[in-house]
Amino acid sequence: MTANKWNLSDFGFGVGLRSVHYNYILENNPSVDWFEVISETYLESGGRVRYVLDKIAERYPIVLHGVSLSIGSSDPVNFEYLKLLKALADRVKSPYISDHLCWTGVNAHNVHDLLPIPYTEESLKHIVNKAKQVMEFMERPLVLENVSTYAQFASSSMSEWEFHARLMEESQCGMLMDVNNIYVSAYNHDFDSKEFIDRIDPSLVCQYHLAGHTNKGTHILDTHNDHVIDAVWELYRYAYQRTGGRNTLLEWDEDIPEFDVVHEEALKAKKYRNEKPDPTMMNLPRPTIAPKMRLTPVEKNELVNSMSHKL
Amino acid sequence: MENNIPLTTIQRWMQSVIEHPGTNDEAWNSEQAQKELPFDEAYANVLPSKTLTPVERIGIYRKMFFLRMTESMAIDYPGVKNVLGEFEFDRIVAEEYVKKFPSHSYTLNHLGRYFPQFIQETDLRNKAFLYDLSRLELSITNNMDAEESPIVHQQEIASVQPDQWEHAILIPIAALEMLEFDHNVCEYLDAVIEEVTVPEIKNERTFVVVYRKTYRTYWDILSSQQYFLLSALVSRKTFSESIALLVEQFPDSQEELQQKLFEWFNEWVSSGYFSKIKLR
Repeated sequence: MTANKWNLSDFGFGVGLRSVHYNYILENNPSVDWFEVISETYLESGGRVRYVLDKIAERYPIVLHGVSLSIGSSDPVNFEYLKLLKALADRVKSPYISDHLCWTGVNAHNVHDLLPIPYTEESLKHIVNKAKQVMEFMERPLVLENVSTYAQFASSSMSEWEFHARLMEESQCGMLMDVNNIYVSAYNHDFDSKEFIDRIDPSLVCQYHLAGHTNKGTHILDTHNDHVIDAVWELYRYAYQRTGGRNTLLEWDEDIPEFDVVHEEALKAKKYRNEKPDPTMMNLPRPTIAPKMRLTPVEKNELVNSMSHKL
Repeated sequence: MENNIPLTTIQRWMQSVIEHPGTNDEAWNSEQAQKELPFDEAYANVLPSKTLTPVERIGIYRKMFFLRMTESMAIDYPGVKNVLGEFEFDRIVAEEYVKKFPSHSYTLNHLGRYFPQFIQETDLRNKAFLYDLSRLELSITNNMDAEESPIVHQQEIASVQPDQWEHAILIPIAALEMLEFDHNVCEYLDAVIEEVTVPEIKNERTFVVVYRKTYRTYWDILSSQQYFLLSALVSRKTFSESIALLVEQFPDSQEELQQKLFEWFNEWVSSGYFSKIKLR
């Protein structure tokens, strides 16, 4: 086990707060260790969502998780957005803020997706500079998540994990390791997911994400619409044994079941924390690539529908 | 080996492809995309996977983009979608609206802010009705996020001395908006939400107050007299000024108004329209 560099507390096993569960949580006070909330949902809302957030923040630790920081965009840092984010982080006492290592738009557009960046020296320098500005302004650690990607650039001069490692080293931001995203990207780009984990300094990992996905044969979509598959649990086990105690969170964004089902899924992570290492995990199978196939119009439509969770 | 396509060029190119309506090929060959990166250079810069071509891989992001846009707009504008039909609604949003009013916000909740304006500027069947309906739907969406205000209770009203009423100003809650329409939009939207048969679209002068009480948004139809008086009060005119204006506007109904004023006022206070009373 390795302490994280910022001595951030390990809250335990959390669940992503979603509006369909508001009433259940307020009425039943489930024994959840902590909640992660999508920052943008609450930044300017003075309505019911803000009321619910305040009530939940009174009872549970909260961590803000954003989707529009766009740290990888060639646009400059949006300080108007950061002002709102800082006010919210102070309000709910979020010990750190997290977002994604990606870009969401350029020229002040927002396409509301987590888009891949070319892993180049130029991108690295630019993002390091922006991450430092963000942390200085926010006065709390910035933790960046590896995203699921569906495209890679020939102009990249380093691997995704090398980029993450150097970014964290040079900017002093932390990593939110999404083991499902590692699995998805490993499948889509045919790399070894274990190597990704091995190359990241465990002390820089501040949090884990777990989620379900949709395997379309030709590629995997990060849909957050189901239980975590066994191979992803194995990856979590593998990663966790390198880092030890870190906040672990389950995301479920589509076809969201009853709160208890989501919470039980999150608590499965406990088993992996407490169990001894499984020697077979050292030979974790790489995802296999299905032969190229043509999708029927119905399958295409289904594919599109499965990608529709709203950021 | 790093080639030298700048980050900003790659991102401008990719965004132009993602945002371009039509097929993948049309998007890659669009004027904007070509301006950022010629096709061959762009194609060489996106790696294929074992199963997907560069065009198909970027196509995944394109499909997700248009789905997000249409789904987000459908959440805010169920009534407009019902009038246009799913296919036409999605087409208009994807091919025209998002192009004209791309998202500049950190949240998709703001995407539909310019939809009434867009409808007004676009050639559509039932355009006048759609314009009214979209204004009502936008008001409802905005209302849900408006700041919460404390509300004036009947006891506070009762504590105001009779001679103080003349100069009293009633401050409305933040989550209250007054709207006028030329069509039966409330009736139509209620039917869509309740999933019952929608009424025939018709011209009908309609006065509406959209407000929130205990974190729930309501839209109530008012009479023209109620609307006139409430509008005056909401615009911070004193109580006596508001009533004087009402009487002046509806001189033939003076007696009837005197009877109804108390009833209306009580109803508005109990509905939570006002956050405080300012006494001079």
